Amino acid sequence: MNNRIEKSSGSSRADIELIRAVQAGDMAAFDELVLKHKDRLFNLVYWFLGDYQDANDCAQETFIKVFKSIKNFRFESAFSTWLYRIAVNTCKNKLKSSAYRWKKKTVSLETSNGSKNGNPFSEIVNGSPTPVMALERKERMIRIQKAINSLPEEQNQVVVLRDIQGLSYQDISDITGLNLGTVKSRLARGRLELKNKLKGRI
Amino acid sequence: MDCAAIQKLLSEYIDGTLDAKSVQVVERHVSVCEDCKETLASLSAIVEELNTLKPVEPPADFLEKIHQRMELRFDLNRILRKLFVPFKIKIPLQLAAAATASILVVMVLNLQKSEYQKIQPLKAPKSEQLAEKPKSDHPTSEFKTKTKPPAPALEEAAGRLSDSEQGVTAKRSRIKTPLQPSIQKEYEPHPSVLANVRPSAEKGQPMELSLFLNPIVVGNAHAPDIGIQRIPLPEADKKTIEKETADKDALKRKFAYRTENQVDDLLFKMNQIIRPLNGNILTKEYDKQKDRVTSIHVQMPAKNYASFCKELSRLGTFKTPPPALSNQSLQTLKLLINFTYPE
Repeated sequence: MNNRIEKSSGSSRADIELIRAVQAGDMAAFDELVLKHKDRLFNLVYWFLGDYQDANDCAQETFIKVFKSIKNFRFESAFSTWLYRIAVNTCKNKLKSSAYRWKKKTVSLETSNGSKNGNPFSEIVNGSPTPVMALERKERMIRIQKAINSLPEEQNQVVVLRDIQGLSYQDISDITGLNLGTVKSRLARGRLELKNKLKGRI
Repeated sequence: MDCAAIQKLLSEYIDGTLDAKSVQVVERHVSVCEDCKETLASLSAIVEELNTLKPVEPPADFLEKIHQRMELRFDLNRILRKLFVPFKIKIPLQLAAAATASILVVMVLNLQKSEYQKIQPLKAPKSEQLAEKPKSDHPTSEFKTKTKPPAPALEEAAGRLSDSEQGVTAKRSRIKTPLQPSIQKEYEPHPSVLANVRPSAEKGQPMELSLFLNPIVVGNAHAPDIGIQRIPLPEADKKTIEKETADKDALKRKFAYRTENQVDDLLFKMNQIIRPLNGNILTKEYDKQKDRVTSIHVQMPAKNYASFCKELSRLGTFKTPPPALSNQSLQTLKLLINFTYPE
């Protein structure tokens, strides 16, 4: 577990070279940066928002913001930290937007059964040995997703960053701007809340 | 340590970030407390479950969509930049100042002109305006023509009036034109006439005489000679009158035509009096509604003033006795004669 946390901190040599190339106007280097970080970023954004289309829109917006402001990147933090900070702020703005709140109210019935775009676990076909086990796993994933999305925003962020993205407390502190103590307490509260929501289902 | 405090530490215990002393406390409590032991197991299972969640992958066209959105946005920015091109032409400060100053001057002049036009009609009655105009310095000739442009017919009449007989003929044809409801100034004196008057006019206001016309003067339109009621004169004046009679008779023959209305009657009679005395009528005002002359502006040599007053007294009676000439040095005299008609 600690290895996963270590892995995310600090910009790799490849990231630094790519960033310098993008700063010099190399669009191919930007594409490479996107391809390298898109999966982790998309997963993070998806668990923040709980909707595939919104996650897609927000993740694209995050990379466009990165491109626009990459000339100001001073290599004072890891690129991933900077990238996630932009993503978290973009998601916060999305969640605050009246259009998103309206959509959440009106589309809840449509997505309750798990639409194709809203819930990627609705069509999961994993390597479970039997169809019954696959169905159980799918239901468990949907329950977890609902539980995480029902957490308060500040707890949701910390739980996702720590337990799904596997970032260190320090990274979470750098990304969210919270001090370490706040990160720890919010994580503890979030996990306990999640345990209560999923009691007897896992 | 109670269960609530232990449960706060369980999260860090699972992550392995607790110090050794806290780890011992948690482990000792969990070994004796079934609730906390169960909570720890549940939390560990959830964390494990979350850690092993299959990551949600972006769509295959993720990068392509980013490119599309970036192009759209940058195109929009390019259009906006083109629309709001910064104004790069530099104007010298002196030129800008000169342009601003000239605009201000033009605006002020226009403002003054419009103010002048508003004030002009309220300044004085029309008859006074007419008398004052020649000696007024302020209004330029440009303003005069713009504020009160003389009608072509009137200009023509003014020009002809100086040519005695032709002026009368022109005037008669003009009087027949449709009448206007207000008292009007018939014409403005010709500049050449005013030039002659100016030296005496500048010395003071025209002398004003008010005459109450005899009924017989305005009653008979067709026989001017009969219309004049002769009032016996003192013996001293008879000689002078006899001398003038010859000239007057010649003039009568000259103007021997039929008059058609009161305007022409009275003017004809006034001309009969004034012309032998080497004077002339500068302006006249008449009431078109009642078709009669209300006042005339006369210029004549000052020496003939007494004779003129005597002649006028034949047409009617003065409301107030004619004033005596105070300034003996006057060569030319301007008189304003107001007529009052019998009801």
